[in-house]
Amino acid sequence: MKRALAVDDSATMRNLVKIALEAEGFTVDTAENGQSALELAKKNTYDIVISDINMPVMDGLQFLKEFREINKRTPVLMLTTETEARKKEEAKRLGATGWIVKPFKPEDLVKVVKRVVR
Amino acid sequence: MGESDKETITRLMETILGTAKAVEEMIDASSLSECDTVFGRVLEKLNEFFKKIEDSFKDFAIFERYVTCAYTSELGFGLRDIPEDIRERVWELRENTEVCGFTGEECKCKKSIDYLKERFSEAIEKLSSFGTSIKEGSGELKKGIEELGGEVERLTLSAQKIMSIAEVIEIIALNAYIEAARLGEHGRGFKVIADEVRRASVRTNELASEIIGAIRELHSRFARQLQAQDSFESSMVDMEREQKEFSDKLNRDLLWMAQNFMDFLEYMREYVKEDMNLLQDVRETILSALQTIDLSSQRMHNTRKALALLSYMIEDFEKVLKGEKDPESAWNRVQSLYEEFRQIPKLREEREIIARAEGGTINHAEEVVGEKLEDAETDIELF
Repeated sequence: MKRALAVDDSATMRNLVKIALEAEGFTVDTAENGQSALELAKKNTYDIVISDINMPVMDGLQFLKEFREINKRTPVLMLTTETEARKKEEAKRLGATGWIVKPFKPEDLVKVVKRVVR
Repeated sequence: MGESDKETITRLMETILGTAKAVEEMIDASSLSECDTVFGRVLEKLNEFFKKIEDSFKDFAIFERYVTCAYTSELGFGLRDIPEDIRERVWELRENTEVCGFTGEECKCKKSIDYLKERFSEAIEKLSSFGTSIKEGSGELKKGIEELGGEVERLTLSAQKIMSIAEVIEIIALNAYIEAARLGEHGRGFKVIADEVRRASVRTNELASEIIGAIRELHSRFARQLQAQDSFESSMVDMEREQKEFSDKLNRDLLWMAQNFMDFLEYMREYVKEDMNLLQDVRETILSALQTIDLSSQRMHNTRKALALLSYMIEDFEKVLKGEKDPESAWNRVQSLYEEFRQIPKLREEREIIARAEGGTINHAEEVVGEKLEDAETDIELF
């Protein structure tokens, strides 16, 4: 069974990602900021990570940077309201796999997750 | 106040007014009117869904009664692919003749089963009567054969007697011939011989009659046996016809019941499918509403920050007007606050508001960094 990590400070968004992926047979862990997510990522192995950017304690880009220091292979999708090119470029440079703009359709999320998860 | 200060104050006012205008638009964008529309849609969908569910439950109640019908369950109808708990109830209710999907007189399956029972009883009665007839016929046949054996014995005895008489006649005839030859004209012996021959002849005739009578009786008995055989064969033909008719009727009724049940299942399947589609629709609407709420909350948060920055700008302007702060340092402060304000917006719509406030636009095509996912409604890029 595939395992996913959903990172977002909004409980609504965390649960939306969880519902969408669990319907596809994923086991989904959740974290409300980058730091908690990093702790989970150190203990567990994930097939996919989906992370927001603007979060308290540790934002999504900082999380991505530190996650890539311990894991270079797991795909990381940024799920955010941000649309600026410079933010996307920064995420790309830090090793993000893709960029999803909120609001999102659950089936589109599933589609892109299936595409990047091997 | 010098010319330069006036220009600075004008710039200050323009910046503050531009910021205030943008903040006003942000407030409009973050208002709950969108949420209200979404909630209206959610309520509408939920209402439609619950009505449908209510209707479905009514139909399910009928369906449940149908599958728990004591009559149909007797034949095993309605028991296939039924959940275990319902199946158990079926068996519990099986003995209760009051339980029926359509209740009382309306029960089609009851009528059908009752009819079948009646037809079964008739057929069994007829079979039983044919059985008696066969048994009786068989007894008669046995008796006839036994009697026939007796007749044959009698005929044999008669034949033996005839043979003995024939022998006597032959001896007498021979003696008469010898006597006639030896005595010549003495013809008295011929009279005796003639008498014996006559008596023998009478006796022979009687025996012949007996034999003819016995043969007639035999013929008659055979004729009766043949008649009984014909009647038996005719009964067998009738029985086969009855069996075929009954079998055809039974098949027709069972097919009708099975078809009826299948139609009902098909109807329920379609109904449940519609419910599921509606449920999916409701689910998507709720998920979309939840995202809208989340984004509205983010917009409110951004707007609150923007309002705070605007109030700092106005405070500085007020200080300039009161002569508590020189226009240049106020301008520097307002510029810094404005830069901070520009950094706040996160949502695409908010960025568009700022761009419009500055007299520009955003070219979204130029902001694509990765490969855009074309077959998705969501804005997705893969790097």
